[in-house]
Amino acid sequence: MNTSSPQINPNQVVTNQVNTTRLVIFVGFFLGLFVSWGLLIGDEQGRVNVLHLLIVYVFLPLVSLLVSTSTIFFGKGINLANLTSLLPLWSQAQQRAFLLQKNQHHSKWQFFFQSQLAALFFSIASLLVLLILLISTDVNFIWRSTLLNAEQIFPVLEFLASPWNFWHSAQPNLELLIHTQDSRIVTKQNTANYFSDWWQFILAAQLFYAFLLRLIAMSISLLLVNYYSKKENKFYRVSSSKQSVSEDTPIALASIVNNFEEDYALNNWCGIDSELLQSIESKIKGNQKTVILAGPLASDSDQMVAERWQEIQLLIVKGWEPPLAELSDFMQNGNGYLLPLDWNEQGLQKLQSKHLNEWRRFVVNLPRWQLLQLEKI
Amino acid sequence: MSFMDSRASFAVVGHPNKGKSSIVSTLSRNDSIKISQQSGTTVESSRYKIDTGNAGFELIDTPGFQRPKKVLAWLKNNAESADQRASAVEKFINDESCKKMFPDEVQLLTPLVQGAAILYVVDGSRPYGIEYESEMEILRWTGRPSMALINPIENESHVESWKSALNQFFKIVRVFNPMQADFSKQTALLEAFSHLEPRWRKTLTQVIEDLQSHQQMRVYQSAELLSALLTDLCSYQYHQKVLSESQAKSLQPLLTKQYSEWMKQREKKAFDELCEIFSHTQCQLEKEDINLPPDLFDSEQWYAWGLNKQQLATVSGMTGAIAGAAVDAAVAGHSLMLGAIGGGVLGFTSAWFGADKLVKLNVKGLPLGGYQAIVGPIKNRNFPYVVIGRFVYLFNILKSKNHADRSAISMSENHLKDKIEVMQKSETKELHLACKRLCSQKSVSNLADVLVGLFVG
Repeated sequence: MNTSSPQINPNQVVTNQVNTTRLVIFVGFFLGLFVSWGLLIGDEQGRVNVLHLLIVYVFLPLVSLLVSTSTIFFGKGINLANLTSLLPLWSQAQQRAFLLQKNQHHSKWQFFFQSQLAALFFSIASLLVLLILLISTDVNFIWRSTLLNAEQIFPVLEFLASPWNFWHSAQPNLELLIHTQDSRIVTKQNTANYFSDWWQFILAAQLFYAFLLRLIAMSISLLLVNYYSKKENKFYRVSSSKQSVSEDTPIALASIVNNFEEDYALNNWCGIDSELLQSIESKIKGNQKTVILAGPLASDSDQMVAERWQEIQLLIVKGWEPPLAELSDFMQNGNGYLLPLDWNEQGLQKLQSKHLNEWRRFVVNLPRWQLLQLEKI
Repeated sequence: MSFMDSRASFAVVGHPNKGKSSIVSTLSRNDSIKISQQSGTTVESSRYKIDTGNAGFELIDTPGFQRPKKVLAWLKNNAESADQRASAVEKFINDESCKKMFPDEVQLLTPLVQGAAILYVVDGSRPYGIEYESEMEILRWTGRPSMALINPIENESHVESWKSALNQFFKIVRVFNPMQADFSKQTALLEAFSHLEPRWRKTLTQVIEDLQSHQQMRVYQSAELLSALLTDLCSYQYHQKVLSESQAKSLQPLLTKQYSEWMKQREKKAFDELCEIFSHTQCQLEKEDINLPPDLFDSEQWYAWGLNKQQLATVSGMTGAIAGAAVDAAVAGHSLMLGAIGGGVLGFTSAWFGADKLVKLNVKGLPLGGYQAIVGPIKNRNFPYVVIGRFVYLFNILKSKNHADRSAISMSENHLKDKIEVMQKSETKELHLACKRLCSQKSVSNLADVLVGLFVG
């Protein structure tokens, strides 16, 4: 008993098409096999009516091609594949496959393509049967008609054979027609050696009307199906060189101090205005001894002094900006407290946690520095 | 000259953590580009070639400036006059000591020296700072066409002061939020790009046309996906052959579970494909599983070759008709087709009424019939609307979701009713008819065309 969990095939729609195509090909092939066998096996004397063969190998292929082609442009598409899908024989899965196909965009072109494929397999089966019977038995091609005589039929056959007029032995002739006319009452004498002479004409008719025309129709429909599917699958593409990013480092964050009591030199890296500076100084317990200046606003001489400074610094930076390498370079030489600040028109405001974490991540790699965050802002 | 030769190339540069990768992600419609809260995650320039079918362009995501003041000082030491500035930048990127001392700046300036235009990104929610001037000065030294993008990451408080500053350094200044910019804003930006370099105008105009047609194509592709999903979900049946009716009933919980699992997976597959259409390959969906109607279980008898009663009767009828036709042929049509008709009727009726006996028959121990436990298909009239509603809801989210936006998509209440109300009467009628046919497991020709109205507008 199969109790495995059902899985979705990632190419399910495609698979469904393949399954229905196989089904339709199967129908076409076996139809060709049975119909051709039934026709070509003939009666007990092996007599086969050439006019019946023309109906099956010329008239029916032409009419069905005309119907399927015209209805694809002016209707819903009547063809073998569509009719096959309506048979009440299919399993539930096969019915679903047909249903899925029918509900797809441009499904009528897919059905048309499948029908041409089925007709092609019909003609392949018919050709196989003809060749097998020609090799393995004596097929006696005759014709019978109540209303028509050889002179009336000949121009029609001549017209039908015009596409292969380079193949002389496959052309009909009046003498052959006269000698192979059969009657179930009147028995003709000495005509038996003409009966097999039709085979090349029949073979050529099959090759041209049943096989070649379908091959052309199938190729065109395949091109159209591919065209529509390509048209609908024209995706936007982005190709890229491998993105070179460093992984987010595991969380190693520096601890935070809220105040300090040592004497310090103020280093206003970010150029914060004096009013805000005063409010910060008033909150710090330590005494400010001097002011130094480094960073983007500093002159070369200020920068040089700051870089040589070995006492404790209070280094003030913009908290919302990420720490740059030039700050890191500067901090390698000094020591003290780093104070990232955030402010707006109303004054100081609390640093956002994403920014604070960025600074904590930065300071953890600078052992001579501590991260300062004032408690009362 | 092919579009590949004249491909427009833009290097997105700026301070770290100002949304450079977000801008590249949104403009390239690529959600696999890493966007991090941590600064300095982009350590090398990454090139993204965007191929829109008939044209294309290139975006280069670069590391942020790390030592702009020192770099500018180096450049000034190596260029005495304005005509030497571009060659000083070229010298800088090729200098071995600079590669070691200023790896980020070498990475970000290299594409500019190679011919890319500049897209300089700043944060419009934070005040302008004089420290940015070193960066802008360095960029000016490259001599490349340039544009500044103000990304209002948190708000637009300082956009105006940024504009005043940036206008002095850049030919074009635009406000662009990669998290919120809709399709028209994105194409407007591409339009602005085309003014940077005249030789790129044609290719960028083609890019915009391609993107607009892709937008349209996505609608049809989505309708096609929904069509396949609806057909699948409305027609799926899960069944298991067993010997007795009691066995069939005992399988009910297991089969129902497997059936609903299949339905959920099928819907998930369609959602994933829809995300792929919109190039959202990494997005996460937070959704409740689709509600399936109750009482989907049934059991029925099966007969020889696994056929059900109707199929067995049809096959028997056809076989009888063929056999009867052979008799008609043998008597040269004198039976007036009674053989074929009689054979067909006989075959059909005997199979229909005698089928039940087959269930109990065994041939060499093998049963000729039995029972099958069946779950589905769903015939509830509302079910297609539920499927459509969820799908269309996701479509609308994806349509407006930018690729820089990495938040999970939460499937909440849908508004299918509103959508249907704004459709034309004939379209609504076609939709209802299609849903009715789907519930009856009948085909709907051009189902995607019927559904497409739900995706428009």
